[in-house]
Amino acid sequence: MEKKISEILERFQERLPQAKTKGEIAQIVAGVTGPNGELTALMKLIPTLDKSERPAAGKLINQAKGKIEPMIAAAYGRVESAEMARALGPKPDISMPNFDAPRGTVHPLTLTMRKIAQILCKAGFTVAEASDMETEWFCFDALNTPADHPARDAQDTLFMPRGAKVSNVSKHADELYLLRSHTSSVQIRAMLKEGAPIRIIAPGRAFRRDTVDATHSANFHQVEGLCVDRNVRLTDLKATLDHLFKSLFGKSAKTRLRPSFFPFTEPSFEVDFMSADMGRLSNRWIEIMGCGMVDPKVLENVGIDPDEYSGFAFGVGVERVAMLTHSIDDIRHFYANDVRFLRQF
Amino acid sequence: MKISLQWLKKYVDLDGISVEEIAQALPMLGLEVEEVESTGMKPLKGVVVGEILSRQAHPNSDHLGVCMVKVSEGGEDLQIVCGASNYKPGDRVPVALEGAELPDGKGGTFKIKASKLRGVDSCAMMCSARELGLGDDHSGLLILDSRPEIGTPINEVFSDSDTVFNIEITANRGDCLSHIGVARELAAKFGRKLALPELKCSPTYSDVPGEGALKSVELQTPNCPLYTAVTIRGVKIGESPQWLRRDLEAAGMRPINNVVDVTNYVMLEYGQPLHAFDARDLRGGKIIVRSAGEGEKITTLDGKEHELTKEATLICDAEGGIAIAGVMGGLNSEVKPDTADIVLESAYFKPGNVRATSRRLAIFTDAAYRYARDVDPQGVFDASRRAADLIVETAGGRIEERALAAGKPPRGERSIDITLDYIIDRIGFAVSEGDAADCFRRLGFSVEQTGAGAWRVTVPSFRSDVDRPIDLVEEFVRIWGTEKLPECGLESSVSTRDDDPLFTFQNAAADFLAARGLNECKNYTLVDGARQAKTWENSSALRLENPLTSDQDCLRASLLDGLIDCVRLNFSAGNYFLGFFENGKIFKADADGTIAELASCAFVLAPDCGQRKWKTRDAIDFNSTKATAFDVLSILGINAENLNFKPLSGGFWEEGYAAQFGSENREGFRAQIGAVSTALLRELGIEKPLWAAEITFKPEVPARKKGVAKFKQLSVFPPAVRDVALIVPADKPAGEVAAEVSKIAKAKLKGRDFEAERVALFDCYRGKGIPEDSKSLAFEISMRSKDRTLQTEEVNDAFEQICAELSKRFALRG
Repeated sequence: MEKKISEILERFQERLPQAKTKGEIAQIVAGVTGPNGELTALMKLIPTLDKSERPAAGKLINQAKGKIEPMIAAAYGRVESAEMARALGPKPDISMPNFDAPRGTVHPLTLTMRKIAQILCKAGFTVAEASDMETEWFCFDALNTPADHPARDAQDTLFMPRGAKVSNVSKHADELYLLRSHTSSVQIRAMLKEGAPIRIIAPGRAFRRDTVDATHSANFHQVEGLCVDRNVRLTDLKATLDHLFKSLFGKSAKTRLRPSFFPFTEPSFEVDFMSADMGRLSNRWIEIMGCGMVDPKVLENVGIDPDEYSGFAFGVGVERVAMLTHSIDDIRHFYANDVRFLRQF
Repeated sequence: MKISLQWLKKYVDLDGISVEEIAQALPMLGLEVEEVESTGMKPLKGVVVGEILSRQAHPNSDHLGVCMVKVSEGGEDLQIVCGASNYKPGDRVPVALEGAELPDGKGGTFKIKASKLRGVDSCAMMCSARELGLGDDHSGLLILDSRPEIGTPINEVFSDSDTVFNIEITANRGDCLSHIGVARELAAKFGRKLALPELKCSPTYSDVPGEGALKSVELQTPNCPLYTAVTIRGVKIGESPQWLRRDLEAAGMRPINNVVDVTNYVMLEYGQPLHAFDARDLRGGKIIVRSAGEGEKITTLDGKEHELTKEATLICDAEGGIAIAGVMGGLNSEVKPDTADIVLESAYFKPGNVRATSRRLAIFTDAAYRYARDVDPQGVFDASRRAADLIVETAGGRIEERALAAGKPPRGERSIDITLDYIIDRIGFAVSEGDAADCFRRLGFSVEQTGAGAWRVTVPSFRSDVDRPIDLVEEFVRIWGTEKLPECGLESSVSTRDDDPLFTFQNAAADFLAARGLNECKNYTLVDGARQAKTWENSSALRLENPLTSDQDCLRASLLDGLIDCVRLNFSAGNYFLGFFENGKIFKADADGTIAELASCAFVLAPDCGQRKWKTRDAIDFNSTKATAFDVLSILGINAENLNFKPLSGGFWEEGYAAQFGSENREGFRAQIGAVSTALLRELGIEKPLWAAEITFKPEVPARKKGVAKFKQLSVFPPAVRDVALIVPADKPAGEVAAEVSKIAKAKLKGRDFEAERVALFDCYRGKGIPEDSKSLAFEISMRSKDRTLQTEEVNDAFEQICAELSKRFALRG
């Protein structure tokens, strides 16, 4: 008996590793422990043995089964792992190129607007939005630019026909709808809605009746900034701009305010900046944006007491910042959307 | 506007201040310098007049000569090797001595050194006109025919050098549209004294009829609050003197005749436009300033006839128009070669009225430009007297003692009370009383101390833009110098305000779509209306009143057209890409033409951009497009799973391959998903199919309040899953069937203590075993209890009931 058992085990140990599938394992196992298996056959012989030999024989058979079971489990484990590995497919050539389209991109103008928003967020500014379609009052009159003001000459504006109706932008009867020529109109909407104190930026589109060329575009993007609070001073404007330009163009960046004129700020300035990190434009003044202290008349127009509050406002061209940051030579790249351009940022 | 430095110096002493310093000071005063142009000869050191004493052939060269040149009386003569051949001994020429610096023609200079030329010493250089920066003539030496003294610095020979600043004046600074105006600013900046021309004549102004050529002036319109006229008799029209012609030309104006030149000169000097009428042509000896009649015609100086509207202001004599007020004179009354008596107009016209007329008639003159920027009412008199003086000086004649003036100056001096505290409170840094008051005085304002740190500042009439204390703050800052603003740290109060949710949504959507492999685009808001009308309804209401070009004459009704254009461009560039998206505003008109401004997020997917690949993926199809669109909707806060999409066709979309849900007016948003019309694509020259989606919504939708999610306990017990397949007509929308299966499953489990957790369509089959016009839809119904493992019997029972109900409506498969 003992000899037979060890022969059975020997054969089992020999055949089991050759099994390639779960079926083959089952077949081999059945040949030993199944109803017609060799061990089962030996079990059936026990009753025929001498009574005194029966316990020893039973024990031997059970010991054999005990040895077989972990072998079966191991065999199944081996086969199952191999099956899973087969599902991985053939082993890859890890040097083959990727063939899916590369990661998509966020537009450089969006990235620039986000960057400006993030920088100014640290100075307490949050984003406000308003409509691209505007009325003359919001775009001009409220901003201290009456109808016969020469500043309306400079901003050559795109108008809608006199009879145009717009459901979600309301206007006075005799006004015209227009496409905002600057994002400054958002100042008015935000102050009317939220009052003072207020500290907002408004990234968005503005429109001019300009011929498209390397530096002009029929629409462009601006980030408007407005801060109105008690005791807001010119030095606060300067500090905010210094923070913005140091963050945008490197720690060495400095700004200067060059007196200028906008109807809605008094005093008004053009901002020039200079940085050592601008490549061939390093260390020279670069004109970048307009700004000023909010004209008391504008505050009055939106019902804020100019004796109690003061503020500053600025508007920076997003294309201009992006072009300077990335040395882009033609504004039309932003609107052509060639992926070879878009993937560079 | 061109400002001549030589001319400026008549009013302000700028000695010791370089051109560069002036060019840097002007912009810091708010006068932007667009260009600095030097005319005549630049200051050159070490270039003097020399006389060629002799010329000998060069031993080693055929074309070079060796000259002895005398450059000073009593000094040593110089040997100079020279390649020119247009001179002879005895000629006087410019000589650049050793160490002199000459312009190199590229904006820099080069230094003259003693050297050897082909073995012969040459210790200076004789110069051509070009070498001195005087034009382009390099054909030979500049022979000085006037034979100036030997040794004279060359700048004394060419003394008419000048620098012209081309200055851009902001709309508020009409007072700087003149040489005196700019001189005043420089005087203030550099602390120099301003010297105005002496006014010699002083006619008696009155509105009573005189005896001369002009008997009355009548103002019939508020657009002309002040009108003056001086009569000068017996002038002789001729050429202006050289100094006057030079100044005019330096400022970019063409000399015409002495009288007209003087009016132009004084305009450029004082900023006050003037006009001279031929007194013979003033019919009735009368001037009437009135509004033009509707359709009234006048022929202007340039010979063009204009039809006026009643908004225009017209200068008339007893019979009709003789000038468009503030814009241009009439041909009928212009100064002619035989004019003897002139009437010199100097007036104040309302800026807005002149500006409007000038724009309407498209006549843009120097006069209109200045009137539109608010001239100085006091300057009306000063300029008139100055011009009368100069006319007498240059054209002779006699000024009539009685001059006419009608109306009143619309603006005079204004007094503004201001305190030092107010100034400091606006600028944020300390400044002394004396410094503040000094800035105002330097600008020509008078300053009266009214208390400690308090003044009454009187602003002269020429400053139309200074009326309020805040305006004085600006003047202080300008003259004080913004470069002196101290560096300050940020002082911010905390903001509890949120970013606008539209901005937040657009950022999240952009990041998501970019992560999906799409590239963000920016396309123009303005599009070609004719093209758009073919695809998007009602878009004719989106046309602009005053488009610049026909390809940008209309507001965009969708972002998709722009995205298709991006695809086309990238196809033709041979680029490899998956697709494009854009976030932006669009405009939609309804049937009655009412426009709504909407936000939009749209994308286009290209299943095949022509790139060959070593391995293929399942192509993008309707479902992958829909999945991406649903994800964008969920970023917008909309669960799209249960929305009832309806087929969509026409216009942009391919029939049978597109779907839409919602309306901006009802739900606040609309989603369209599908294949782009193949006909449209072919029309655009795109040969490959494209999938697209656009979600348009009211800009306030991202701000909608979202309910707070409430946690639902997770069951720890296993689900029981049963499958059922239904045979339905092939064209029956699966969504409808799925909805019904869900509804029935839910109904049949009602009252039991377990639920149908999930009903999911997992197979759609057509083919063998299914009737030709039908399809099989297989659903998996997953049931689960929250507090126990389900028994087979109860699951089977529930499932059987569900199947029984389903079999009433559908054929169950197998």
